[in-house]
Amino acid sequence: MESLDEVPQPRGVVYDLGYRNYDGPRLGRRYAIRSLYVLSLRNTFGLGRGTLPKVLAFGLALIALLPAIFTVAFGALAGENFELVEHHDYFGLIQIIIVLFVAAMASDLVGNDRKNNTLPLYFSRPIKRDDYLLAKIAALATALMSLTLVPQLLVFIGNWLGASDGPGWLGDNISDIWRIGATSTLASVQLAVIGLAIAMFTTRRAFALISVLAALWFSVVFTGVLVAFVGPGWAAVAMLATPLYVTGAATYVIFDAVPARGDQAGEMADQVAYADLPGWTWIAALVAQTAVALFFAIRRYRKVTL
Amino acid sequence: MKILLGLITPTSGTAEVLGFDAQTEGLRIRERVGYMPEHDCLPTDLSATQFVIHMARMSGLPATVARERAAETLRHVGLFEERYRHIGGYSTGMKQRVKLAQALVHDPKLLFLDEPTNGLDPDGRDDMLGLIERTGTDFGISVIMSSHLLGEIESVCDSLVLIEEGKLDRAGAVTQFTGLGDVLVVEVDRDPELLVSRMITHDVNARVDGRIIEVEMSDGSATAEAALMRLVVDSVVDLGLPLVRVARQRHTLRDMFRNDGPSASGNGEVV
Repeated sequence: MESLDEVPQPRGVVYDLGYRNYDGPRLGRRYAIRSLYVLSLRNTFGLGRGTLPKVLAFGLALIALLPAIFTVAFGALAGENFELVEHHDYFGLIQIIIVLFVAAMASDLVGNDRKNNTLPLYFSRPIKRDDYLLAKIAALATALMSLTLVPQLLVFIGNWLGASDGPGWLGDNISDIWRIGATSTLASVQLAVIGLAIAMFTTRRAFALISVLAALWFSVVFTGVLVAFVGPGWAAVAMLATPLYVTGAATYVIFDAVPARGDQAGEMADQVAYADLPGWTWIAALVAQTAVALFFAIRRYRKVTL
Repeated sequence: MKILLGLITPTSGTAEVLGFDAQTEGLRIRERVGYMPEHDCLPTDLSATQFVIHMARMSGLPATVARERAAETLRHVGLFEERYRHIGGYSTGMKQRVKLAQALVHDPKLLFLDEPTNGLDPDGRDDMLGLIERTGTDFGISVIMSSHLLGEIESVCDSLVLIEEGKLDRAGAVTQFTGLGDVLVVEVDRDPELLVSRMITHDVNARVDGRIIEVEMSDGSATAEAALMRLVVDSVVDLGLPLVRVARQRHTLRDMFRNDGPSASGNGEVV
């Protein structure tokens, strides 16, 4: 066996390789968009940044999960199917959390690049202006999925595990999976586009945050009061113009949970029933709102001066 | 510069960079060039490493290559341990280095620098100019930089384009504008008029400007210079004047503006 003394001691050598040119592949526009998407998504959850953004994002996501966690926990304790909250009610329950998340993240995603004047650096890379917007929207929509899709799936899995007749329950409720997927995706994309479109119109983060809060939250409060005093026709118009009413109504429609003709001063579901519109109108309105917001956002970024 | 990057459309005319049309092939140009803007443009809450890696990926470098080249490039611009700290805490000089690193990280063919020494102290300015010079000579990357500081252009640039109020004023090699003049500059401590009158008796034109005397040479040749130099020195010795210096005048870029009158704001764009 060799003694330790005979092992050659490594000697520290510094190699200065000088500047090296790069001849490898350049992956181009799609890869650049994906990189921007990944970084933006990481940014929303504060990864690679300070503590505050992490606490904010994960805190809000956790609060949004609480009803689902309770449902699963009580279901497990009660030993039978215990539905504390139903799928079509979930977004209504955590509405304010979703709004806060959209406002905070939208103003952060586009506000920082405007405030720090980083846009000229991005636009001197091989991407187009619309690509930048697309990556940001995709990042926010994906982040929102953690507030919309994840708790809904958790409720579903909790109910399934809690059911006395597991396979039978699954057979009865399997169609909820596509409903969960469809409503989460529609809501996430709609709110991401609207949130970003509003946040893009100001360079100051605080203004952006307040504008998004106002547009999404105050509009709900305002419409809620207004509907109580007008007939079904005007109520329908007001609701169709209010993002979160449209999100909620589209969710009821997809889960086939719009109640019978309801009370105009009641809960959102009753007010939606009061407007008495065909189901597809709400989904069309959601798509239309998203398209309009997207149009303004694209126009804004094509005109932004560097 | 923004027109050349395809970021804004020119009011008229066309531009071509590396053989690509700036208006229609902006993507292909931007893959091959680096751009360092004039103003602050860095996020404050990322580290230099994270940011430069990200910018490398935005230029199309695969993730592992991006990481390697970001580390190398930051070392080349002179950022070492501090590159792991958030950019928000950096000095202006360090930020300028990060800005240069993000423009260099994808090994561009051509580098656009917009006022790269803005906001730097004299030492930082020299460092930055040294880096820019090395970028051109050692890294083999052509550099186009804009600057309103003529001394900078003289020290690092090979050729220049003078744009005044949006119009092309003149273009050419820097040496063309900084060549030797046909004048000897003589500085004496007192009585410059004596020397001037002595020169005139020898049929040589001379004029006085403070303590400086400009003596005209008959032509630009080396023999004329030597002969006149001897005459000046002999006369100074003869008159017993305290001589400070005698040298052939060298043009600076500043003279371009002096000859043209009072306009002092120029924008040299230099390859």
